[in-house]
Amino acid sequence: MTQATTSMPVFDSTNRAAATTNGLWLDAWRRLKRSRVNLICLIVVGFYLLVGLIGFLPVLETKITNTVGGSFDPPPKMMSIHHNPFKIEWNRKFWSYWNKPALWFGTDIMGHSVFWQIIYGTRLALTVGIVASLISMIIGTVLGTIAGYFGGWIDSLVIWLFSTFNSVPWILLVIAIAAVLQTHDELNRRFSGLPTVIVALSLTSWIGLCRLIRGEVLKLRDRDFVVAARAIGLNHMTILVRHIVPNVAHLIIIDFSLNIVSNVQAEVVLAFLGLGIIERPSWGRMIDDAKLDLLRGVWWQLTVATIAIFVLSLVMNILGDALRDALDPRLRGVG
Amino acid sequence: MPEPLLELRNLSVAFDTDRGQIQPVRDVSLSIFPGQTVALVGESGCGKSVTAMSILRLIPSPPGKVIAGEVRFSGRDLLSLSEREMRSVRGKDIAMIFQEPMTSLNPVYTIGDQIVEAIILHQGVGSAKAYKIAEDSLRDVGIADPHRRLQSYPHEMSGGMRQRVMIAMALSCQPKLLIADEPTTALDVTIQAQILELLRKLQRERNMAIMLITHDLGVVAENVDVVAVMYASRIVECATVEDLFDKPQHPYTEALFRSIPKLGVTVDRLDTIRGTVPNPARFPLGCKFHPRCPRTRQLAEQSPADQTVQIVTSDETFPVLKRCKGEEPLTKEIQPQHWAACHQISGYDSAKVTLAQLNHRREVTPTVIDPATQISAAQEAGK
Repeated sequence: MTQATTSMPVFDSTNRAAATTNGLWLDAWRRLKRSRVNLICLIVVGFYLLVGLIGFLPVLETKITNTVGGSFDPPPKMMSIHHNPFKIEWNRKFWSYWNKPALWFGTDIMGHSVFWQIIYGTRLALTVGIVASLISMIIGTVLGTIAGYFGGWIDSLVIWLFSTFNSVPWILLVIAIAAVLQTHDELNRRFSGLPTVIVALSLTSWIGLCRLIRGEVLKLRDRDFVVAARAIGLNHMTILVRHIVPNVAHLIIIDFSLNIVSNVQAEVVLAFLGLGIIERPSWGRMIDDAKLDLLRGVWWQLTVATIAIFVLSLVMNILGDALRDALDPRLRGVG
Repeated sequence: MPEPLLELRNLSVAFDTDRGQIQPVRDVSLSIFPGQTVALVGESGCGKSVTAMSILRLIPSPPGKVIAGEVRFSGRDLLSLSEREMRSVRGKDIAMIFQEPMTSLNPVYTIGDQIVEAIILHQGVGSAKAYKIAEDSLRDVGIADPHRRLQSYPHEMSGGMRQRVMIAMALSCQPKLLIADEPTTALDVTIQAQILELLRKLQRERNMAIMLITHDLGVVAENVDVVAVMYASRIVECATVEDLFDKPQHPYTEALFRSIPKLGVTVDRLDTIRGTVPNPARFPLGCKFHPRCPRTRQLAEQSPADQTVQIVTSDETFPVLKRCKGEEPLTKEIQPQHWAACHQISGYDSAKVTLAQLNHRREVTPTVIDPATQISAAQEAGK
């Protein structure tokens, strides 16, 4: 240090803003929590996760099959409105239901509790959403990075692969995969059709991420720091893992969060079509079961499941957008 | 005569493009001795960087490949090494720094992490020891408070500091050769001087050879021992720095010197070289410089018509010598220790084609420039 100071000026860093060394993630978190809406969304997501975890309790397996009341018992009424809208009759027994959660949302045709079904459904929805998104994230990231980085025939192969997958309407593809897996698979039956849904959804939802990452890596691979990394003697694998992937991590996270919602929704669509989860009350099955009962005035099953999906979708979409703004500020206001 | 540390022998590199094959490096021969600084000078696009990249075998392949020649480093032909052996040369024996300090550091890692990466890779030390070495190398390049700086991200530093970090990173494994690809082009002039001074100092301490790629003749005059001038993917002139600046032989080198402003001389307009560097996909036949060459044009005007030929450029038509248009000159040793490629140098025909080897060190090591004497000298000359 001493000999350096004699021959040349030395940068003085003490009075610079060097103390604010946070890195990308802390900065992103700070940007994210600046908005109250984002914080509320985070809390709601946390609530869903908690409910999903409760769904994993073994006792739930019996709760959803126990008969808790008569067929199509409605949820407790808070009040009754008669022909005269100004005359409201409060239901004095309403608050006495507080310790009978099984009856909060009424019962289905078999007298099973809709409340416990929705909790079990949350578990299924989150499992499908998160696991399928994780798998598709891995597929998309691996294929996207190697295609963009190595180029040549690997790139051509990956492009061919996602173009092919993309040219088939995804719902057809999902139905085909689900139909094939569903018919003959022991594992599938044991996990009430969950593997089918997960495989089908993860095989169709990696395309967007793969494309996105490939484009970004194409841009990155000629950047000087990648050449510099090669010039210090790193091999391709290390460069990919340590230098390329962290630079597309924001894309991965954003896509992952948005993918969860679309996978949950896709599960509902599949269940509605009679594919996917069997013998367990997923949100999609609940809606499917309830659609005919609606004609008989049984609105609660449909309503509760729809609200569950709606709130999760809304919250995750807001969070996904917020994540994008926080992690990739250049994209703010785009798309 | 001592062995050169790095020796390029007739190196040619080709790239396959949509419009056919182009050759950004053709028949380049160059030697660098331990502790020597060799400059590779030329306009943008003349093949300097590709030459440097092909030494480390970093040119992107498929499109690019070395089609001829050898790259000998300490007696080994780098071109015949396996990729694994090559990786142990990169960073350890030969290091490289780049033009753009703003983009040559990975934005998502602290600079400590990035320096340590190379140290762990090549020196086989543990993480704690590696951070210690990284701290020392940051101190060597004149960064204050290196311990804390290791935790900084690239975006928290200025361009000059980042270039210092790049140098620290490149030198942390004590390479024998440093390839500096326009290390000061993106920096402002005061920082340029500091960085070059730093490189000189580190070179003296470690007896490291430097290959300096630049288009700044001022930098060349101040810093290097041997100069190789490249034009259109070929070395057109190679000599010691004193020789080249005293008596340039090639018309391109002469034209380059005419286009530098001189201290104390008032001119209305600086000389430029007419035309542009030819695109490698459309090199002219014969000497690649003839459409822009003032020498052949001047000689052609005095020569009988049967020795000249009219050529058409984008804005004018003029005669050049037939030989210049018809035949590409080879790089020959036209004087002892002076190589050039031009038909119109006296003694060119009898000169021999040899490999350029110049184990030369400049006599005067320039001291830190004192602005006060510069200004008074300029005023003196102006009077």
